Amino acid sequence: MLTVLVADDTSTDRMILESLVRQLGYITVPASNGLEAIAFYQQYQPDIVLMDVLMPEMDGLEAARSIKKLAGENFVPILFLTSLSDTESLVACLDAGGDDFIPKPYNKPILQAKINAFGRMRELQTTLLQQRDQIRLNNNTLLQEQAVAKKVFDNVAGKGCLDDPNIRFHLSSQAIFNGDVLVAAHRPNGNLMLLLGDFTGHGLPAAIGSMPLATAFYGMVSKGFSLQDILREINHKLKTLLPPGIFCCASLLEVDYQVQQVKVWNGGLPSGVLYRGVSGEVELLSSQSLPLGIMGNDRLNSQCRYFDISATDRIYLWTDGIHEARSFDGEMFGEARLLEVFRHGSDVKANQIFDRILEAVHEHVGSDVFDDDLSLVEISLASPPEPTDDQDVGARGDQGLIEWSMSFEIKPPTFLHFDPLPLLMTVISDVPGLRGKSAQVYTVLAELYSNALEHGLLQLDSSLKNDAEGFAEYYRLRKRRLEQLTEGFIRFTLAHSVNGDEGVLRLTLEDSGEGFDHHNKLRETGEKDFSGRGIALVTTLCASLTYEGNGNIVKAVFTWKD
Amino acid sequence: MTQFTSLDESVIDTLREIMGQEFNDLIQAYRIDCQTRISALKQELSEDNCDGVRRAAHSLKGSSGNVGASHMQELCLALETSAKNEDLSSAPEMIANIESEYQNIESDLNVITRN
Repeated sequence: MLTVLVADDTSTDRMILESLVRQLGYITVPASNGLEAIAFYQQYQPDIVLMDVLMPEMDGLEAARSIKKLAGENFVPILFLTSLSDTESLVACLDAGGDDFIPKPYNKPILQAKINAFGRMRELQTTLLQQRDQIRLNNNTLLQEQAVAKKVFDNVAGKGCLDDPNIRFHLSSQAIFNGDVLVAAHRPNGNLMLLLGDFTGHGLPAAIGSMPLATAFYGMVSKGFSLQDILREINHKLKTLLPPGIFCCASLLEVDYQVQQVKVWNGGLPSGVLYRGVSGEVELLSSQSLPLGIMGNDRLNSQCRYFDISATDRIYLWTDGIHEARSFDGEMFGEARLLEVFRHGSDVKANQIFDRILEAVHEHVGSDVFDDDLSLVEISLASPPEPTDDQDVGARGDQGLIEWSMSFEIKPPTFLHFDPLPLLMTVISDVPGLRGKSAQVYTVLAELYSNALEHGLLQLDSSLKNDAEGFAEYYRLRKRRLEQLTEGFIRFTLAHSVNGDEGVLRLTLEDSGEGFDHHNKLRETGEKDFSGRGIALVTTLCASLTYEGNGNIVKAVFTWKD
Repeated sequence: MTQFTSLDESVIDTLREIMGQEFNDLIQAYRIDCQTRISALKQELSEDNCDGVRRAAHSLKGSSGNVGASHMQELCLALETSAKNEDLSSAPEMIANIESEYQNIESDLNVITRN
C-alpha cells in the first residue's frame, strides 16, 4: 500500500487532501510545514509527496529540494499543491524537483488520477531499481563464476608446454570466454603437439567445451596417442557433450623434430602459415575438414598434411579474431593484410613477424582501447630445448606402482587399428620412479614394438627403407600385410622392482614371427639409416638389450636411479 | 432548503461527500483557521509586516476557497495583492471587512453543523 505525505499549512486543505487520498486506499502522513515534511519523509519513507508551496518555517520549494536529495536514486514523486498559475512560480516548482502540480481548489477526479498515475510510476521505478540491483548482483556472480572457471581451466591447461621458448602466443585474458583455446604438450617421443581452437559463440557456452578438449588433449598427448587418435577423441567428446550448433574450429599439429616434419590438420580455422625462413616463402595451412564436434567419428576427415621443415621455418596459427578486427569505419583486417606482413621479406626479420602482425592489427583498428579478441600463436621449428625430466611429476613419492609385473598379448586384427603403447604408457606413468623417464621408456617400447610387428609378424625387409621409393613401398606392404594378417601374436611382459632409490624395468617382447639371425644381424645396423637408428638409440637408453630364441624374443633392461 | 449568505451550497455538499464522518471536523478546522488568520492579520498589520499580511491573507483565501466562501476569497485576494505591492494603506479597512464577512460565514456554518 502506498504512503502519501501531505504537507500543507492550511488545516482545511490538508484535511480535504488526506480524505481524498485515503479514498484511493492509500495511507496519509500530514505535515504542516516544510521542516515537518522533511522530518516525516525520513521517518515514514512515503512513496509520494504532496507539497504546498507557501508554508511557514520552511517553504515547499526548499523542502522539495531536501527530499529529492534524501531520496537519491529512488524516485519519490513530488506534486506541488498550488493556486499559483504564473509561469515563473511554476518553473520555480519544477526547478526545485517538482514532478507535477495539483491546482487548488482540488478537483477530485483529476487529483485522484494524478496520484494514481504517480503511484504506478513509483512502483514501476521501484521494480526497475530492484531488477537493476538483481542484474548487478547476477553480473557480479557471473564474473566471479567466470573467474573460478578460468582458474579451473588454467589449472588444466597449465600442465602444457606453452612456455617453451619455441612457442610464442597472444591470447586475450578472457580468451576462454571468447571461445578460443590453445594447448600444447610434448609426446613421450619428444614431438610437440599443439592445438588452437575457436569454439562458436561467446561466454560460458563457448568456454565449456574447452575443458573436455584440454583434458583429452593433455591426457592423451602425454601417453603418446597419435594425432589422429587425439583428434577423434576430442571430436567424439565434443560431439557427445556439446549441444548442436556449438562446435570447435581447430588446427592440430605435431612437430617431429627428429624427422624434421610437421603434420597439420585444420578443421574450419582460417588458413595458418608455414613461413620458410630461408626463402621467405609462405605456404598456407588451409582447412580441409569440418570443425570438431559436428560429425560423428565415422564421418570425420582426419587426413593430415605433411610438410618437411628446417630449423629456420616458423608456423603461424590464428583464429578469425584477427581477420575480423574492424577499423573505425567497420572494415575488417582480413587475410590479405595478414599475408602482406609476410611479404615484406627482407624488411621484416623472421623473429619480428609475430610482433608485426599484432602491430598491424592495432594500427588497423586504430583505437587506444583495443577490444582484444585476438588469438595468435607462433611455433619456431628450431630444435627443441633438451626435454626436462619430470615434466609432470605428481608428489606421490614411493607410493605408486612399485613392485609389479604384467603380461599383455595382442592378436589380429587388433594390430590394424589399435596402438598398445598409450595403454602401456598409462601404466608406466603410474610408476613414481619412471614418471620422469616416460619419454625414454616410450622410445624403447615403440621401437621394440614396431620391430616385432613389422619384422617379426609382417616379415618386412628394413633395407627397403634405404631410399625414398623403397620407403613408400615399405609402407604400402606394411598396410597390405597388416590387413591380411589373421594369426600371430605379440606378447609384452613388463616387470618392475625397486631397491632403495634405484629401480629396474624389464621389458620382454615376444612375437610369433620367425625371428632372425640375431647373432650377426645386430651388428650390421648402419649408423644413419632410418631402420637402424631405432635399435642404436634403444641400446643407448637401456642397461642391456638382448635377443633370445630365434630372435623373436627381445629383452630390454631399463634402470633408473633417483 | 437552506439559503446561505456567504457559502456555496454545492461546494458544501461536495465537501460533505468527500469528508464523510470528518465533515464536522473540517468545518471546525475552518473556523479555527479563520480565527487564527484574522488575529494574525491584525498582528502583522500592527507590526507593519507586509509579507506577514500577504501570507495570512493567502492562507485564508485558500481555506475559504475550500468551503466555497467566494466573497471572503475576493476580500483576501485584494488584501494579498496590496500587501504584495507593499501598500498597507487600506489594509485596516480590508481586515475589518474580512472580519465582518467572517461573521456571515460563521452564521452559515452554524446552520450547517446544526443539521
